Amino acid sequence: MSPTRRQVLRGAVPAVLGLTGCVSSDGPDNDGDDDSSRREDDRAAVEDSGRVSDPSVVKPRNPDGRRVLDPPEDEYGVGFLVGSTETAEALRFQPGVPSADVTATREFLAATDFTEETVYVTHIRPRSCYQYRIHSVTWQYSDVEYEYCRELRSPDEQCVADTRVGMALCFRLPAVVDMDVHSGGSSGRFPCEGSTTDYAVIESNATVGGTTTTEDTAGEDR
Amino acid sequence: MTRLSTRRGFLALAAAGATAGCLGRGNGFWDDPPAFDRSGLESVTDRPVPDRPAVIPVTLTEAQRGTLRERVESRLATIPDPLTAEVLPNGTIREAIVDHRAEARSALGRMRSASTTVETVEAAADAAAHAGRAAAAWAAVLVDRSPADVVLTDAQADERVQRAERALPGRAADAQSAIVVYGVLESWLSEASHHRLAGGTRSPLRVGRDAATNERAWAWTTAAPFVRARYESSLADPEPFGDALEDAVATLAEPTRERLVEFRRSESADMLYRQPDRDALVERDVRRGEPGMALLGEKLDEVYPDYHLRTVVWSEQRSYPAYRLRETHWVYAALDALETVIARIEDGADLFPSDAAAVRSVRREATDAVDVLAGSNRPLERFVASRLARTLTEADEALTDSDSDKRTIASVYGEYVWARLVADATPAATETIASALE
Repeated sequence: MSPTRRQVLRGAVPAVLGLTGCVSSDGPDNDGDDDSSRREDDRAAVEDSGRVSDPSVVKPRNPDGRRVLDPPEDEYGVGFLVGSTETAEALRFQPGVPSADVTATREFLAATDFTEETVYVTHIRPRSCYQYRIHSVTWQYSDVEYEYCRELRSPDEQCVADTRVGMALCFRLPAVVDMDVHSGGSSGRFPCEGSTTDYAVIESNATVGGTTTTEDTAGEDR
Repeated sequence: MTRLSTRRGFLALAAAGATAGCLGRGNGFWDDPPAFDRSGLESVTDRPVPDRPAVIPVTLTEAQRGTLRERVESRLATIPDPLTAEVLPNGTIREAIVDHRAEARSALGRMRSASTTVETVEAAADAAAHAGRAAAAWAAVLVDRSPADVVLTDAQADERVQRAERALPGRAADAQSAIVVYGVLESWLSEASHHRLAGGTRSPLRVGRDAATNERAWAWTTAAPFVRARYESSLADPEPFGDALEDAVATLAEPTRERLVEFRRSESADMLYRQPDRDALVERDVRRGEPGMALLGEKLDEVYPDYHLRTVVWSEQRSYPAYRLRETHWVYAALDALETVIARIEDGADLFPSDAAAVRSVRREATDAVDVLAGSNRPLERFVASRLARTLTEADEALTDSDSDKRTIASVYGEYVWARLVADATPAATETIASALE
């Protein structure tokens, strides 16, 4: 690993914490109230290779269909790791990414404790009117993979049929992960089983208005 | 069948011909196809296809058609028109609703212009399915409306199908007429009961898809008693044939099994009703892509829908006796035709015509044979004539529509051969069914 990459990954962090175990929690989605305690539990049981169920993830979109985030220098693979506050702050968003998505992603990165956590970023191009639910993420050697399901977005979310958007999947890994990401993959199902999405959201005699925010999907999932 | 789907079907068959046959070695048939003399090809279809005999000899009343139409229109009336992005921002859901509303209206148009009762009801069922799909998807996104407010629930559809099944077959002029007329009605209910097995999640699109099957079932279960009433009232002295048809089903079970054994002697009993491997039916080392093998594969798919002889009589099945007897009649003729196709391939025929004159000749033989069936006094034979006339029409359209490339010509030629062979085999099949009815 080059010094540049090491700096990118670790930034000012003086040492990698000794972490053991592998997370495989199948607990319910977290609304954020006990996020810190959940992350504490995760950290207590993670090592450099591992798997996390229901990971913290933020999913900013780019309606233009292009990437959402420019990777750090020399990081043009299947995805990249963000291992320091400096690297996180240096990330640049592509023009066209809604400000709500930028804000949500910045907040997600700012809330990450890079002394004990790493963010993995990869890009996909989903159909505009569909959303991804992430079930797990696994990292080992130079490979990061995730499991997901795909389902229709809420009826009141503005989207265009048969149009693809750019989307960054930003996973918070509960470990300081120090590796070159050479390969990545995903496996998924459609539609999501046991979805709790409430689709009955429109008044029959009302107009919901054409909001363009993507805040709901860019917001952090736990 | 629409002109578009017809053309698509023939293009698919032509494409299948390009890959048909895994047995051959060396060059494939289409790597160096034989010459074809196109002289006179444009006039091959000049002689008209025989008129399709009416399968159901009565029409619906205007009031009955109105009932079918009103259901569609009232479902569509629950959806805002236009349905804008301001009302429903999710473009995928919105476009699905708008598209299915348009499909429903198009089907209503086909219903108005339909020339037969079967076409009328099938168009009405399409309209109901699309309207139900649109209305249910719209209801699923509303906080103050439920899909159950606008479309049949699963339980309601089940109940309607079961009630309609109990009322069939009705009275008829004779046993063969009962098979043909009530075979159509039972085929609708059979399809409704199969589709009723579908489940799904609760996304608006899934809700709509499930609703489509239920609303289609509504149309069929509404139309079936309409047709029965109209048909029975048209007869001077209608008689019940339900018991006779059920007895014939029981009588034919063993002979049908034996016929299937005859077709596939080496097959185990539990595989008899499943589609055979096309390549295993031919011993000759055919070239990859030979038109005869493409025809054989296509017709096996047709005779074994979903890879099974699902509707043919077997064992002690008692459901849908008219529909089963009608399809068993068809299968008896089709098996004879399949055996002839196999024999020709074994004899070395590639079933590729050398010139337009060969296409014209086989088409003439086919139309003559279908014409004879259409003029038969046996309802089962007139039904087969109706089926084969449609095959001929679709083949003609493919020949006319396409650029007449060799693959399409080979596919069309195969269809003409098939129609002739089935027509020739039909009288013997009719005898088999008639004997079982005695």
